Amino acid sequence: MSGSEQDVPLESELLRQSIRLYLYGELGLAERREIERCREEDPAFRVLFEDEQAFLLALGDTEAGHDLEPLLRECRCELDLAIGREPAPGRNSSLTSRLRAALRGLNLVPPAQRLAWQAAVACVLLVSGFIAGRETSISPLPRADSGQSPWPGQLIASSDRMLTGIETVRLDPVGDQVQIVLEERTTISGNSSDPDIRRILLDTVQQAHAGARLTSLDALREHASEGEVRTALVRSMLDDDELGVRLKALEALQGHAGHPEVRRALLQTLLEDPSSGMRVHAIQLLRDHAARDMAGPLQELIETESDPFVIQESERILDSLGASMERF
Amino acid sequence: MARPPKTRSLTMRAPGTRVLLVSAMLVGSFPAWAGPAPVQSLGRWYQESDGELPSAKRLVVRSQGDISVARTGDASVRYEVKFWVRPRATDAQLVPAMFRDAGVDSTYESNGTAHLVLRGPACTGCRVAALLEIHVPQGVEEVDLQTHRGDIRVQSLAGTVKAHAVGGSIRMDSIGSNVSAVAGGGIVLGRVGGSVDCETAGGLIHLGHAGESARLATGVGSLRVGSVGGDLEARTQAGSIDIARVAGRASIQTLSGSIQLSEAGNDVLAQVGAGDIRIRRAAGDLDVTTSAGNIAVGLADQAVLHDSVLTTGVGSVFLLLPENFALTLVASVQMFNGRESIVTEFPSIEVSRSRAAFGKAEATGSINGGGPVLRTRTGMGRIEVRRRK
Repeated sequence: MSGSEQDVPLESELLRQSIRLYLYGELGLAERREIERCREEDPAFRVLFEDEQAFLLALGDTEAGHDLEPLLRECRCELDLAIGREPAPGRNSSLTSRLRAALRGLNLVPPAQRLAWQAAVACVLLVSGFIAGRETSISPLPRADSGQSPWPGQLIASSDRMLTGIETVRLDPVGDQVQIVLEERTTISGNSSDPDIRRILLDTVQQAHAGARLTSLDALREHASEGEVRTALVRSMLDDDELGVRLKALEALQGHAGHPEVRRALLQTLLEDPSSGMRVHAIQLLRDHAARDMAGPLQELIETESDPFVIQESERILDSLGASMERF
Repeated sequence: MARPPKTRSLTMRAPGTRVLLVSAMLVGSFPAWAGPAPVQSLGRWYQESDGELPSAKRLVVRSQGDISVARTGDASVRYEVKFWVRPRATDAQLVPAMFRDAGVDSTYESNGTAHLVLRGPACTGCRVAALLEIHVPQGVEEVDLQTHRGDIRVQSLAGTVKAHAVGGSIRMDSIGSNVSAVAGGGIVLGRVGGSVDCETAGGLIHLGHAGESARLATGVGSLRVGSVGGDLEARTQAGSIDIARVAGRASIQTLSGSIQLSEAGNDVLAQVGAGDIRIRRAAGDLDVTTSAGNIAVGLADQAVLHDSVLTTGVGSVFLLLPENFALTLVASVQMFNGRESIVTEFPSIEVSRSRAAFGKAEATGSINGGGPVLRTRTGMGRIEVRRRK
């Protein structure tokens, strides 16, 4: 059997195994998104996906969940053997690109050949992240004289993934089995308008530590005119526990205070944010976008507000609207 | 808003005023002043009037509305006061009474201090706006302004300015001497020849240039500074701090937000709770700390360093050194998770790493023969030491 003939069923099984890992929640973010994209865009892949999904559902959740861990342990024990046997693919080929390649050959897979490759593919897939890390070139650090900025935060177009932190290596001499538990670190660089970078930034503003949330907001602020970014900024401004993050989000929305979604959020900040500083900033932005529907909330605010600046600005807005200072 | 017709009427300037004013300096005060009858326009009642005082060394103003001060070529202090009132419909017949006592009380002390105290229209439950515009001669050495309900604007004064806008914002430009500003909202200062001391409860602070030292503090808001001729103390609880140049020592602190300093002519103390710190060219000692964020520091060619520290809890440290800068480096990563946890372009630096996963990485060594000790540490992250060419 030639190499190319082997590739077709192997990659088809790669896809099936990827789908299984996806359904078990074992894939990383980028792989999950790639699977979802393929499911959306490729009808053949969708059929395969639904087939696997139906199969796993037929197994029953409890049983599948119960059997998963031992199965995974077993597969992981075999992964080193698989790595050793694998021919080195070309540099820079990632799991994602191989998935794409597999998709292209999806319709060519003879069903009879699938089972023969199933066991091998299971292991190959489990180590795919490992392989990707080992094979992907690591971009050199920017040098001060190279024209690339050495300052963190100024992004350059590159991507690297590397193996880090080998936690444990266990050897079973009798069975010639090796188990490696490791951490993988991934560095993704690119322009903030890149869709993949954008998605990660949007996740980061919700989930990372405060320092990273602030930096992500800085990166996103130039794109506040775009719907999903604006919504994320609004969410940060309203919900983040860190005062500085709420302020940064508000500052990023400064040029969009006239947008209905932003205006509503600013009004909510004005009425509800516990920090008087945030209320001061909110009312300054609302001042230039005053509308009649603000009169009621502002009249209510004046009765409870303690900050003299917020009171004064509320009065000014009410005056510009021709509304009274008091509710009747 | 369409401006109502101007009604210029009662003024302190009358034939023989100078004699009266000189007498008043000795007597101590002028009688209460009341304006002309108000006029109605576009749903508001409006009154405008003006007055004049002889030049004073010190001018003290207390108001309930906006204050605007600018320099004039005249020898005396001139002022105009404007009131706007929007009464409730049911109170329309009370309008004349509301304005009866509105106006400016002026007092002149023998030590050269003039006082202007504004009394607004008496109106409950309605919006009252006031603007006191003051033109002062060049010889005024100090202007002390305070308003409880309004903004303060000051333009082109040679002397010292003290401004307190309890519920408003402050904007000044072209001030020859020292500035002290306290506001409820934002403070924007253009060019100040002397020192600057400003504080706001919640709002941004912008300072173009201070000839001497500056102290800037805001509760919640960002700080942006052009250049400071002396020492700088900048502090905010939440917000970014962006500074172009500080000639003297810089002490900068934000609990949540980033710090960016382009040129530091002397020592820098920078502390951040959460956020990045970037100092492009530092010429003095560094004490730089962030709990969660990256640190990037470049040393100036002529930097004179003593022992310095760069510390981050979670984040990376990037240090850029001049080509021939002599330094002793002590770097540590408490919990590294990468093969290149400490990267340096200087071969004299020895890097050692724990064999354990998530162990400690350390680097020590002399650069260009060694010199002051620079300690850099990150709890979790990476350290890079590069050479500027």
